[in-house]
Amino acid sequence: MNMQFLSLKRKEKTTLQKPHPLGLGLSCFILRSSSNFISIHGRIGQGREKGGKKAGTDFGTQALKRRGKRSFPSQITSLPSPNPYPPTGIGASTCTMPGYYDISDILMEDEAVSVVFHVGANGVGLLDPGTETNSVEKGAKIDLPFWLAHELCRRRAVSITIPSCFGQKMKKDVQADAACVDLGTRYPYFYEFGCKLFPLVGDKSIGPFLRHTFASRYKEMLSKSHTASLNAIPKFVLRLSKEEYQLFEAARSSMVEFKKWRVRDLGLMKATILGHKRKTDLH
Amino acid sequence: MAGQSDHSLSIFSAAEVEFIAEDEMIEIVPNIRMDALNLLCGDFGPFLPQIPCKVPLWLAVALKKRGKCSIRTPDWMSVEKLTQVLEAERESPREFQPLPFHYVEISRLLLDHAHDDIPEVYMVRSLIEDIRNVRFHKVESGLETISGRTYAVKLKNLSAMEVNLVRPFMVRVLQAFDKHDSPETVQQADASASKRPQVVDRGLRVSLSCVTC
Repeated sequence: MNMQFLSLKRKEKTTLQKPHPLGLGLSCFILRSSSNFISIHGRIGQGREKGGKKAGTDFGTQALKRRGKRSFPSQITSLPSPNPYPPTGIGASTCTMPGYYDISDILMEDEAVSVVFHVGANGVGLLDPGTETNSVEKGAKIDLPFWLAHELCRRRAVSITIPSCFGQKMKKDVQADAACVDLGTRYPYFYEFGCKLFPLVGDKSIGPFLRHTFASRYKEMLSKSHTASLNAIPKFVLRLSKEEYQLFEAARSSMVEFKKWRVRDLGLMKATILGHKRKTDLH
Repeated sequence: MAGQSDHSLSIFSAAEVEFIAEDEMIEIVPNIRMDALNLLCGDFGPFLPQIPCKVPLWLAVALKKRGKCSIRTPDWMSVEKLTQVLEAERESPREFQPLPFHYVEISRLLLDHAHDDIPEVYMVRSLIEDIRNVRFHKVESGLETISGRTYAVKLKNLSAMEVNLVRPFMVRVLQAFDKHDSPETVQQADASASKRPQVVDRGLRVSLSCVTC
């Protein structure tokens, strides 16, 4: 299911790139009205539904309603005024909200976290693969997607355990050499996830840890992204998380554009000029 | 382009920066006689042969392309001045030498269209390339010193094209650092009542002198 969504996202990227005077919100709406998107989203809705369709309890349906609201907006004709700050409860994260309709935000929330249930829940036995009856016991340890765990945590029905990407092993890795840690393949949403997770879990050291990781990785890798060569993708790009990759792309594309501008009008004259250029060129 | 997906960054493309640069005044020596041009941006006096006059750069290039004038190189584009600037750039690792705001674009336009009007054109071209390289390396090394504590970054005497080059990256980096920093400051405010973290070292202060002209 995720792969389909990702391939659609890539197709949509071309339409998203067109500068729209009314901004990203409206372009998201335009996407939504295309049938492709709705059908895929319908499938995603099903996927979510599987988790909580038979929810006798309140939690599942509430979470579903929010998810449902996101997929099928009731008004397509009028201009949306999307609330860029999704409703958060006690643990209001102070980091900048990426926006309710942001695709990478939606994808990021799909990450699985391991939670421990404080209360028993009836009718959601599908969440726990090891249960016989159609319910989850109190104290059971289950993997839930982050958006569900977030809502349940707000209502104090579960408590989230820190996933392995912020655990001790990771901290040791980062302290050894932050630039070598492979965030691109293992945890592409490392920073966003950490920002969202940080207010919900009692551990106060995640924030500084994220900052430290980012600062050291930035120093090693990102400050060199301007002069990264055009064709050969340097190795460290594969190790960047999504957010870092955007930074890298920004630098590189503006560099590429500048170089294109420089040689734009030279045309036939290029050969003679190249011969006289000094070797200390930017290439 | 880097900025399109996030329109709040309002990037200029290189061609747009060049367009803005073409408004600079430059001196030409026409070789035809022409009446005064009354344009929206100003009146450019009657052109008499061999009498120098000042016109905007776009007009100069247009006339030059039609063979109606010859362009006089601006003062800062002589070999001596450029060598001086280059030496000074190499000596001071953190400062940028004052150069005209649009020197990249002006020099490119002149070298492309009026290369026969510039004395020692290849020397000038290579000098300008070197200056640009040195300045860009300074910007890069300055970028490395941005840490979480930087609130603002100030780069004096940076030219329009160079600013445009680093702007998307710089803005996003500062945003990212801010995002990672703010939960921490809130958390520290919880822990130790009303004591903001003292910002000691701000690294390079860079004020993004955006091209808003």
